[in-house]
Amino acid sequence: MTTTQILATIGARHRDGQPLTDLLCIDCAQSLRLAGVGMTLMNDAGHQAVIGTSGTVASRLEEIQFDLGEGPSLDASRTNRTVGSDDLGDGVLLRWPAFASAALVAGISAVTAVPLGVGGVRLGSLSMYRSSPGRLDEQQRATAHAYGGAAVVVLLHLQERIPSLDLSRDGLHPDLGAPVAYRAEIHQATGFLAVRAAVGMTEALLLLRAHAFAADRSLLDVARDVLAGRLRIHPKENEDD
Amino acid sequence: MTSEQRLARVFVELADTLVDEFDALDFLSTLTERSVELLNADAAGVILADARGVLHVVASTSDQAQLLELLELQNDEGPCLDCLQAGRVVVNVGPGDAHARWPRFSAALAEVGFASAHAIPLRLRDSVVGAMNLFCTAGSHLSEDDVAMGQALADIATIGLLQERAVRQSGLIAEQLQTALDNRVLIEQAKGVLMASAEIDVDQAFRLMREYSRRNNHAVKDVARQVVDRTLSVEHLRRP
Repeated sequence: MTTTQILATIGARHRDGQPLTDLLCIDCAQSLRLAGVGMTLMNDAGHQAVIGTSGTVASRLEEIQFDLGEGPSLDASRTNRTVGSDDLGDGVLLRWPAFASAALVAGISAVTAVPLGVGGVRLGSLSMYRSSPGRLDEQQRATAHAYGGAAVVVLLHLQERIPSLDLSRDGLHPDLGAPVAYRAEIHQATGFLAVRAAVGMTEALLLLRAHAFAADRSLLDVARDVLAGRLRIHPKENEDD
Repeated sequence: MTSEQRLARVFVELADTLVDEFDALDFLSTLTERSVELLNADAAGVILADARGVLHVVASTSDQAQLLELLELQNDEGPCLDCLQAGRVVVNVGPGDAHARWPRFSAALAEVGFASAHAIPLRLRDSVVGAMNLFCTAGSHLSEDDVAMGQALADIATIGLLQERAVRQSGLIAEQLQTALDNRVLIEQAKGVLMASAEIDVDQAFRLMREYSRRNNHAVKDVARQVVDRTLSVEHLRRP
């Protein structure tokens, strides 16, 4: 399966209302017989937005990587290399301990994340989740990369077709902008906490994450509580953990 | 719009933006040099028409002022203009033939010492986006084979330019996407900074930045960056 064939397939299935990004993930999951596929947008600071998924499992595993600040999707984009694990249950090779336990709970045992980028510009990753341990064979790996290539084309295609009303220079296509907006409160809470705890933005986000992890809550819920003044997080809380 | 028309449009845009694109110019310069060698000509130049139909000289075998003038002149008259309008080759134009139709071009041609001029269209499907001009000093003649070769070279120019454009465009869009994402995050963080500093809600925080940015003619993202860096305080933002 080549990138062109993939694009032709999802292009033919495209109807208004269903984002091309979701179609690509669904098609990828079907053709490689995967449990789930998720596509994330990332910047150099690692902030990501889940812009496409094949379903709830992939959606959950993509979201949780942002909450945890670790996982294959993040590493693939960060290092611009394909990363993964053929057996997330193999404790010896745990690169992402928190992500691995969440994945196993969700019924995922293996993952491959392909970086998305153009030249030196990193855009995110396409992650493929499998329910049983094992390697992708050579042909499957080639197909996985072809889907990565198609994902880049879809991203650029969307970004090039921003509706004219939204043509500010900072514009994002609605299919990409909406998932970014979904995380807005987390970024607001980061700024908020940076002031209240007198720390930098990076540290503030780490504090939010640490609190969410310790309390077993989603990052978004914790962020909302911080913004509403229901929750105060102090740098010391982290040290005490 | 068909994909052919889209391609044609992409190319016309290219003509518009090509002036500051170094690689494309390099590519075309090389092409003019090869064309002169292969067709036994003495000088060559590539002219592209922009979206408004204005012709731009984008490459030539020499920077000799007279040659450039000869190329530029064809905004008004000459074989190149005819070639662009008719979409076909106009070759073996001698000073004699040229005199009646293009008196200024013909005079300029003789002044540089060229005996003949040729124009080969840069075609993209059924539109013509520019032309390659060739000039010969001796009374040499472009044969049918030469013309076919010239057209093949012109076609290479078209394909090369399209590819160059596609690669450049995708890098540019990717950067825009990355920047857009950076800015979104920055603006949200700045809202949070203001909410915590001034006990205001999220809408008030954004309004504060937007109004400041309008008063001072700065982009909101730049204001947000200063808020996040703490180089711009709430007091500053509120100051009329």
